[in-house]
Amino acid sequence: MGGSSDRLAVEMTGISKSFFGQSALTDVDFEVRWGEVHALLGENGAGKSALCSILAGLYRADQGSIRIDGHVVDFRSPHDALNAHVGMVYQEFRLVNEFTVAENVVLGDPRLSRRLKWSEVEESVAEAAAAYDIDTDPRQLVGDLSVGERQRIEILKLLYRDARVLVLDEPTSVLTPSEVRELFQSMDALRRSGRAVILISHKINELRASSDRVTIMRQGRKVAVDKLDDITNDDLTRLMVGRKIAAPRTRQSPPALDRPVLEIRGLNVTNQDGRVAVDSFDAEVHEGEILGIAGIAGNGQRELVEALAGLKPVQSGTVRLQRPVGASAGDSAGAIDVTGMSPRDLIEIGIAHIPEDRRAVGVASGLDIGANLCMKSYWKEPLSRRGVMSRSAVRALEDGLRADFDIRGGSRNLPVSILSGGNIQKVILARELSQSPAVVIAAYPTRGLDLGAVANVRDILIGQLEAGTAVVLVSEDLDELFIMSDRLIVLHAGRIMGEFEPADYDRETVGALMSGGTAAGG
Amino acid sequence: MRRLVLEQRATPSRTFSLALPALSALGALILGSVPLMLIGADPIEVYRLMLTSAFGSTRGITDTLTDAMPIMLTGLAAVVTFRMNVWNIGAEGQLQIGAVTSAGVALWLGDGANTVFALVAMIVAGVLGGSLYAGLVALPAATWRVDEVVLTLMMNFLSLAFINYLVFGSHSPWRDAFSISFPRGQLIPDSSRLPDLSGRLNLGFVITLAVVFLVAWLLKYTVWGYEYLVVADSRGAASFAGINQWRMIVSSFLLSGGCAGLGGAVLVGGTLGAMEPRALTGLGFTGILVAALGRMSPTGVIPAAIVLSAIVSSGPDLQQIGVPAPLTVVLQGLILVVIAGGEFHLRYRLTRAGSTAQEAHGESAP
Repeated sequence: MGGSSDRLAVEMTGISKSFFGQSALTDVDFEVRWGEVHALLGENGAGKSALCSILAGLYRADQGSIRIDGHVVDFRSPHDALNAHVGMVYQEFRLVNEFTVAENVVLGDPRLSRRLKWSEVEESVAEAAAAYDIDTDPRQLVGDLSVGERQRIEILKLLYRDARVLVLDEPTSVLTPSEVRELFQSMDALRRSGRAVILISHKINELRASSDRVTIMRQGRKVAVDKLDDITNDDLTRLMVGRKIAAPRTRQSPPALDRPVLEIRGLNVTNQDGRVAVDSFDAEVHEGEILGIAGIAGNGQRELVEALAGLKPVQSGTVRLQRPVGASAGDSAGAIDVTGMSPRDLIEIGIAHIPEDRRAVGVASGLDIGANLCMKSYWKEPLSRRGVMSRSAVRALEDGLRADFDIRGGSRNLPVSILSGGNIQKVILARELSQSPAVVIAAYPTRGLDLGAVANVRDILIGQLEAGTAVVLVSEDLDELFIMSDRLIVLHAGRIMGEFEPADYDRETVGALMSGGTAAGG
Repeated sequence: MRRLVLEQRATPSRTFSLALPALSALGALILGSVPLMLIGADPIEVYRLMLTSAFGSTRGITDTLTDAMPIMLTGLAAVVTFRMNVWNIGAEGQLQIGAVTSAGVALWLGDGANTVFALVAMIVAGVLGGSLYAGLVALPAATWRVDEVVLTLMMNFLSLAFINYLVFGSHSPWRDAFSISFPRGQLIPDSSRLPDLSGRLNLGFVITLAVVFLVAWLLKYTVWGYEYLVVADSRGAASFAGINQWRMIVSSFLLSGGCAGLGGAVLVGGTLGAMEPRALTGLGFTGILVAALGRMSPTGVIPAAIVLSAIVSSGPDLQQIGVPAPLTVVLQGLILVVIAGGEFHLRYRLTRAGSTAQEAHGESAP
């Protein structure tokens, strides 16, 4: 497909691009052949998405040239790119939930005539789906489809428009392990049809299972390109990160399983539509223990976390805190029922919370670092006295926590939003942990961070265990959960599907439960 | 060949944000010379006259400051809610109700009252009147998320009808029966009149400045102000920190209405001496312009109100050289247009493509 085999599918030369005055891409060369799956590997912020967004016409490069199948192109919009047979599936799907599959597939297709017959359109979409071996009903509403199915509709949409270069931006981040396998099969079919597939990823295992060659990016530059068969995982990591990452610290002392801190019994929470989101959730977290909660996003984690933080009403069930802040360790007489307490009371009593949306909820992004650090204690002395804030106390708090938690970048009076994601997360951790909480509820604390910051955040959380803090860790990254958790609960559709001890951690079993199946082999 | 590209600034430019109001006024003057030349006037001459009219004499200065006083307060009222993304556009009505309540208290106390007590009572009545009138909107807006724009806008018509009834109604006891040519409310007794400082300028101006600085202090140095800024910046972060948003919305509404109500009190108790519907209309909306020109900063309303007051109060003098007074309204409108354009440059800048090549770090790239 697409010309003789010696012509390259994609040839990007000397691409540079800056955003906000900071350069995101510097003189990047990128080549993809016809009939290959080409992985683009790099940390968050390395420029993978920016490069592909330029290829797909979403942004224009400041400098550099692009050739598609040997022809120089200058895309001014994704529409231009699609006309040149280049299409991209973004992390955030661009589908209309209220439209059917067929309506979504033909949306924006210039070939549609003004007087279109839906029956014919649906037929043609069904034919295309059959041709590419995509199992779908053109009349179904996209809103009713699972995430994996929606992703296939995105791909179908590009194929229907005759895309020959397909860019998939972190396609596996929303999928279950079995859906990932199906995706890789589809990618293989595309490769065999002679198309070029670009897979953006930062997970080495995945691209090893799916790709032919890999281009590695770091800090906006291309650092290497190689066949996957010729490069080791260690080399990939080293090239991607640019430095050795220390392995996560091992635990100093085992959790005190005889000392529960947080007891959750029969917790029921509904989502905003009034549907059951968390269904009779039971769990205990002990002193110095990390309880992992695995699940695909949207299976009740958000509602569970918000209910525990007092942001969502609890329908029924109880949450008890065994060791409220102020009581001495091991003093069981101090247990209190915290169900339905206000966020402020929960903060006072020692339940800290690392929210999943760190930029919109975790911080007030327009305020400076000091203002964000005192957000959970500003009403107390010495930060304020009789309703008046003490600027010097806020500054002292900022200086102290900045040093303790190694928060880098930014400066006084500048908004916290200019910090990197990892440093914003450190601001949040500093604020929450400096209150010496009894329980920390951490929702996706490392999502979207680069590897250095991930290690930092994990170290900080693990360090907290020594003080006897109990941690609830919600994540969809199984590697993270396996490394961090002392026990693991799998959540699907708001229900606990299974509980695991570290000895039983297994990707396939846990993955199957996450997608609602049963645990293979017990 | 490098082309010019628009680039978003990571943070709004600091120096530019300070210079923006001045640049906006300057830009408006340049644009304003077009209609001036169209009617055959010399722009330089007109602007010179405006300047001397507003600031050229003690009389000019005191007049300008006197007229700046109410719009400074309605501007402050706008700032207090707009900063929190709550759109109280009812300063107009809150000022009018403040005028009614302060006039009511002054008339009720009568001539014999102790002057200090009467002044305090009149001011407090104006503040409470405006505040409670805003509170009528604050409760449904904060409790049931009723659209405050529609509510405050409608309340403006109610208060205007009410004040018109009090002044024009043939049975209204508050009407000034002796005024024949110029309908207005009863003159308030001297014991409740704010003493003059110089020319028309009265004690109300000092009170106004004090309130502006008080609000600035509240926002910057108090716990309430801290909570206010968190809610203003991120509702999500605020609920996460356990800040009661209902309380913050209602209290900012009450403060806003109180500022506007004070505007009514200083007009009735000072500048006007009685309720005059014509002199009590349009001030709330000019306040929105003041807030925008003052860059939504509490203290920014001081220069902003003075500049706008200077433009408007020079109208009569312009007429003497054959320039129609409504042209000052054209200039006000142009200022707003230029500010809106300037806002854009605060957030974006023009650069040559590829001229910036710094290292990217972390999550900075989208």
